[in-house]
Amino acid sequence: MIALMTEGLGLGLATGGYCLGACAPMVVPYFLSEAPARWKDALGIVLKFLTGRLAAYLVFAAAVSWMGHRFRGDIPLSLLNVASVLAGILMVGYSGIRTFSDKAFCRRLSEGKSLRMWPWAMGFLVGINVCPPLIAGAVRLLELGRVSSGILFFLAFFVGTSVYLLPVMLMKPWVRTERMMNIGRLAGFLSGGWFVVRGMSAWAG
Amino acid sequence: MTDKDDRKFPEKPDLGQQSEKAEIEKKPVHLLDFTGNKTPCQAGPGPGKYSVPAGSPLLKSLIFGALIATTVTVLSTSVQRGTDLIPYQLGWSLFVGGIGFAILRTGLISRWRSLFFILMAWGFVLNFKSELIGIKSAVFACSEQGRVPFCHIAMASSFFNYLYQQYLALKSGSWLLWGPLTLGVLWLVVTLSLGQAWCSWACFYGGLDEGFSRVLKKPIWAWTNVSKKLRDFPSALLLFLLLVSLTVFLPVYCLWLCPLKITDAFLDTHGAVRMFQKVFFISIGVLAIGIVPLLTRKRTFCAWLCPFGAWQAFWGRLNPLRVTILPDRCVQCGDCARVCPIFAIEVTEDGPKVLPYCNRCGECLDICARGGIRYTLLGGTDGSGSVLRTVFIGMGLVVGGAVGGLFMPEVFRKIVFWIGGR
Repeated sequence: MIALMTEGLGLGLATGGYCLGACAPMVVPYFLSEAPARWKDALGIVLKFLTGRLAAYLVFAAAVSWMGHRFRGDIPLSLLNVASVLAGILMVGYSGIRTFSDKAFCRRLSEGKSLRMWPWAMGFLVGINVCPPLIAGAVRLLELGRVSSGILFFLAFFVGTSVYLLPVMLMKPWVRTERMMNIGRLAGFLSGGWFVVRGMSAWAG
Repeated sequence: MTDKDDRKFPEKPDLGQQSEKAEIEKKPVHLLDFTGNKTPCQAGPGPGKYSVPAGSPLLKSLIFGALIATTVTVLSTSVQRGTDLIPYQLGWSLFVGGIGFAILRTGLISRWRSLFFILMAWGFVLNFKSELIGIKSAVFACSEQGRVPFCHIAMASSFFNYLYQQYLALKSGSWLLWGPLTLGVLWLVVTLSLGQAWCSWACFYGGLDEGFSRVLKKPIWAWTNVSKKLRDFPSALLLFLLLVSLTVFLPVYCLWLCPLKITDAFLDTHGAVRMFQKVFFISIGVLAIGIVPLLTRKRTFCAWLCPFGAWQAFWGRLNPLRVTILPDRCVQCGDCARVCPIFAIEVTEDGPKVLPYCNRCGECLDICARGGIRYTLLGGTDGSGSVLRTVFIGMGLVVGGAVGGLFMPEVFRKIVFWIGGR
């Protein structure tokens, strides 16, 4: 078990830089636009995001390990492209709500409880996106072919990759200016659109 | 603004009175047009009451122009040596010096600056970019020209690779390998000396959309108001492009958006993607550099789509020079915001406010009938505006002239060759 977790952690640490690169177009604008004044609130958002991402990793690990056990075959990657499209749509929606929060409809959504769920959803959908580290992990999962081992492996893999994301996510109280938040929201529009296009084009083959 | 002009304000007028505001609004001064023979004082409400910077004496203007021409000659001949180029280098230096003379003599900054700026951009396109047209798949080595052209902006997308190259070059101990490093140092020098003013005084692309924006005397589409929320779009675009370029390890801006490449040799190898990219960048070019500037008199590409402009807007704060609106002279007529070609003046309830995207082009300084806008150090409203103004104009023309000196003499030589055949 320890050997398997060490392997997962090693893979996460080795490929986490790319993980940051793949997630950065979503993570950076999101955390720039969400900039609470207090560290406590900032940490809360980071934890929600990481929990969502962890859930994505565990679901992915369980599903792929199960498939490896049952079919020893292909992973339906098209489902991951759907996640990319959904993450993009979510980001565009989020940026729209935040940017136009002076409009009645957006204000209602912005002040409602649903927006508090956003970090979880964002973390889950970004976490389940196709990127080389995830594919590398998936190959190992298929080899393992056991759900429990796969989950342990991906738990460690999650810790390894999160090391790279944490500095980006924790920088936000330092960059908390209205202008930076505005830039983050506008960049979120562009990134969201790009994730949608990328996911759809990958889906279309 | 000279000290002499300052003495024309013995008593501050009551700027809050509606009648004065109405008077200003009734008599807008359109000095930005190339056509006008009007001087600011003739067109404005009267030299005794309001004034804009007057022209300098002939001798002072001549000395200023000569200093600029000499400095540009020294810089230009130091970088590009060759006796056959010297007459053309002198011609370019004299032109830049002449612009300096005209600015100081007439007191109008943007009118003369734009002449220099537009000529430089079209000269650049003629000399450098024309070599890329039609040379498919050979952008980085044009054997028929014996040159190695590269896109300056594309370098940004390989920034980390660039840093690593610099590390290796420094480690080698040979200064001959430090070429790209020199570019970085040059950027720092330009940023410290001009800041964001690069975009209106020395950029070899900016004159393209400025040229189109100057064709009509009045805008067909009066595009003046921009939501504050959207004004940061260029910074957001820069952030997005940096992140996505890092993700896909490709120069996304160059591949998809840049209309300035004026060639399809950079594009994707896949046919359909290539076609889409081509349609995309040509459309952006035609709209943002040509049609919209023509209709609106705004530099649309520079204001909204240039990532280097956003980059300079960020680092340009290192330069202490600012364009400042003097509250005691502002009647909130909105002329400065109306004529600003890059939407860098925001009209607020407290009066107009200059945004970080200001290029120091001088358009607002020329239009303000009350001389209420100045070049200042870090936004201070005191000090000698006249000296600062002269120093800044000198620096802008020297840096711009030195940049133009890299290719304008060659342009002159080509033109002479095409016309005279020798």
